[in-house]
Amino acid sequence: MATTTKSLDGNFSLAELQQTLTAQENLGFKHVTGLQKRDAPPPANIATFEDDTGVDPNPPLVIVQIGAGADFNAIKAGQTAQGRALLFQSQIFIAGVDSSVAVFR
Amino acid sequence: MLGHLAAIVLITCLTGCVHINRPPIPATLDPGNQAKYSVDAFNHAYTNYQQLLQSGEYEKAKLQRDSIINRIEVDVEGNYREYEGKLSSTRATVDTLSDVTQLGLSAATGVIGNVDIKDMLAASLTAFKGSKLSFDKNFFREKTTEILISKMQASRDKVRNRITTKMALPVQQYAFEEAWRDLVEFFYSGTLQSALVQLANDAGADAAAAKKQAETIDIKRASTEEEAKLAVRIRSNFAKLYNQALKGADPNARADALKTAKDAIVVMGQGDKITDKSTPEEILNLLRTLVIDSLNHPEDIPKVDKALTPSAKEP
Repeated sequence: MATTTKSLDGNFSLAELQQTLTAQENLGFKHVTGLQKRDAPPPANIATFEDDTGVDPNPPLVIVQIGAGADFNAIKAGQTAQGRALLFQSQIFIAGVDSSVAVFR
Repeated sequence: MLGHLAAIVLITCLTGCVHINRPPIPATLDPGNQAKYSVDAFNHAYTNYQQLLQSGEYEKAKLQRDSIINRIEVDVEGNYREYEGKLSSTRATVDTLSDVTQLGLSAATGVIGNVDIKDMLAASLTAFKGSKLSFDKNFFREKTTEILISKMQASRDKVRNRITTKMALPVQQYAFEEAWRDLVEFFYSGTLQSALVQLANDAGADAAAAKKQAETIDIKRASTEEEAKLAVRIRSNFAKLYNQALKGADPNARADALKTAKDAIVVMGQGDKITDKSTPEEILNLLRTLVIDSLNHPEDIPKVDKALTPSAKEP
């Protein structure tokens, strides 16, 4: 199972980032295992992918922005209630701004 | 103190009087003996080479050219090997003497009771350490001898390979004068300065490559909402087709799925890549590759979706 990384423009909006990762996962037969901001300019996020073992699609990827003062546990509980599991939490660029996100599937 | 001096003398003898880093050189290989290419011998050979050229005897001139090149290479090689050995041993000697001196000064500082002398010894030790650092910094740029030698060898191999390759050329294409210039470069590629410059260049090139890599963005265009939706549907339809064609229990359903896959490949303009001998696995893998390719050509995503969606193919 090969691991690959791709850098994505850090100016993407949250929706654009999620759409792009969804297209990459489904058409590339791989799934996201990591996402983090890149320190070197220009603003970019580095997505880490693992190759899928089969051809069946993965459950959809959901990225939730954790705003200032937001209750992460509440966000997690809300997503878990919808049958999604937390993949990871990280700092990324959203529309060029340093943001905290939680990624679920 | 006497023991200290004895240690210095012993080390000097071991590194200077006796060769501990190589066996004796055979006389025929020793650049100091008959293997040395004299200026007179060179001038004689060079005159002969020019005369052969003028008389149009190019084959003989090539032999003469190659002979001169090889003789000069022997001298450069022999001298370089001597230099390489001396570089290692000289630096090792300096390092060892430095260590012994520092140990001696430290030990003396510890045992002497007089405060003034103690201070003088401590100051001497500091000055000595500083001098050693300065030596390493100014002469070797704080690089290890092994790194410098490795870099010199790499540079020399590069130039020597170029010369060897060019020696296959006739004299009209690779005149001795050009070889002469290459030989000068060959000589200087085996010097400390060349190694330090090369290391600095490598470091600069590595830094530039890392900077360029860091500035690269693989995906500059965001997928649209429509493309993301289609991607999900393409993947779902492909999985159904794949499972049906390769794992389905019903032979008719398998054949239908395989035909759909072939049709999709044709619709995507890659029909020439499948033959009657193509196995179902090969066909499905080709289709999978075409799906992956659409990531680099987002304008093809609707076409791929249409080819894989049964209802979408209906008029």
